Amino acid sequence: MAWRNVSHVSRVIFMKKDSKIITFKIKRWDPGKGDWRISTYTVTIRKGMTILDALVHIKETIDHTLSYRASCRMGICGSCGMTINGKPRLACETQILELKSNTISIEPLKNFDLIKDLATDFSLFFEKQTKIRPYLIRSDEDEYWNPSREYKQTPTERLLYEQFSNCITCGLCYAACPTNATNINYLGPQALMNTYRFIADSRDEGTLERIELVDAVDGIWGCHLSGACSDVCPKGVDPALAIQLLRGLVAAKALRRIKHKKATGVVPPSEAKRRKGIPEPPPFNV
Amino acid sequence: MADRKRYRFKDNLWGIWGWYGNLKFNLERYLYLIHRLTGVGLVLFLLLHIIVTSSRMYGEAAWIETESIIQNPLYDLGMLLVIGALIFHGLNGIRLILLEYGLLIGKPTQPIYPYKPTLKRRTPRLLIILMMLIGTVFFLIALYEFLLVWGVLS
Ligand code: HEM
Ligand code: SF4
Ligand code: FES
Repeated sequence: MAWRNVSHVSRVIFMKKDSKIITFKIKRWDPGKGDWRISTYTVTIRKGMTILDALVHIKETIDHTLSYRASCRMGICGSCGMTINGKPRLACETQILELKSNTISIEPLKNFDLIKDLATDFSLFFEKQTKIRPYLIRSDEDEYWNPSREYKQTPTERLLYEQFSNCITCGLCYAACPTNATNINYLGPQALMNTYRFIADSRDEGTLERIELVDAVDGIWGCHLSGACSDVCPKGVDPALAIQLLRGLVAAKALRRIKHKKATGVVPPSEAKRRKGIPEPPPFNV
Repeated sequence: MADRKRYRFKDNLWGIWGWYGNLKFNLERYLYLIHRLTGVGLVLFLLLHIIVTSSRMYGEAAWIETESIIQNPLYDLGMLLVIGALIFHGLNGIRLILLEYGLLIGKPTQPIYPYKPTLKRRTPRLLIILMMLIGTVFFLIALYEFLLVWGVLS
């Protein structure tokens, strides 16, 4: 029957154009043996599939023992970072066909502890993130703990740190950083960037404390501006920029050019009146 | 902390390989590597230089002997490399000093996809080109001097 052939041919054309057979070489950490092993899987990839899609496919249909970490599959949770073809990337944001290679190597994210296979342990990373006090430091204790209104901030003031607040703590910068590659105590691009994010925030008063926290060999002075962190960051956070701006502040403090920063206050009470005909909201019940 | 002992951190550190082994990153990453290599090279040369000139302490005869050893094209070639390294290291060092204190590196912006880190924007890249142009001029002058010494040019 002719139509069948036609459909068959068109399917072949479709296959040729939009799909590809790809070999995945996955370097896995075996926590039982305490050693590496490499598993190879061959998967037919359709256009649009990400590395994470391929991993899900492998785990569901080829090898149930493969472990990896992922959650949101849309580049927002920061759990799926791994070394893909030698570069730290998010598995869920990496289009397979865009890598333009028939063999793709996947390894766990470098410079992190290992749990199993591709899953890495972020405890040290988050320890450092906690150490730099990633929250507003303010002197108005009452307002801080029992807020009555919002803190004041203009859009221009917000722009000074907005870029840095987009970080999803995926750790790609930390894995790409050559200083982290040999020094596990180095705070890392993410923590240093976050320090600057809070200093640049007009609502924060902790500038001097924060500078003291990072003014160390394993802090700001560990950066040699290789720029790899900003190269791999999937959110355009540009940690390298934040670190150099932070270093400028550290130098300015050494030259006694920085005084204690007074943070902005709260927004003044709203003067708006309820228009006629609009009912009162129901009372709070939570 | 206890957990860290259970897992084996060192198995997954990029190590020294992380400084130079990976060839997939940005231009500045290579400059970082060359800066480090030339820095270490210059320190090694400084040691060599001290050893060579210290022979002067042992009298004129020792100095003449050392001079006869170092007066060969290979040593001159080495010197040319040292000068090249110094030119690169010095000029790139000036670039690093500027950028690392937040000068000429740019300002935070709203990240709009496709993201472009400030290091890849115009001013920092122009700085690289400027430094390398100056470096080339310096190196050509040094090369000219060496060719004169070797008698290739007259
Ligand atoms: C011409 C003047 C020089 C300038 C402007 C200069 C500048 C710099 C700068 C800014 C750094 C830090 C780079 C970073 O942040 O990673 C550096 C590192 C270094 N310099 Fe120089 N330098 C000069 C001459 C020298 C000389 C003569 C030597 C050797 C005796 C030398 C040896 C080193 C070494 C070993 C490092 C460490 C490299 C690293 O950690 O990657 N420098 N230099
Ligand atoms: S700065 Fe970028 S690469 Fe680093 S943890 Fe945040 S989002 Fe990830
Ligand atoms: S799965 Fe959430 S960032 Fe990739």
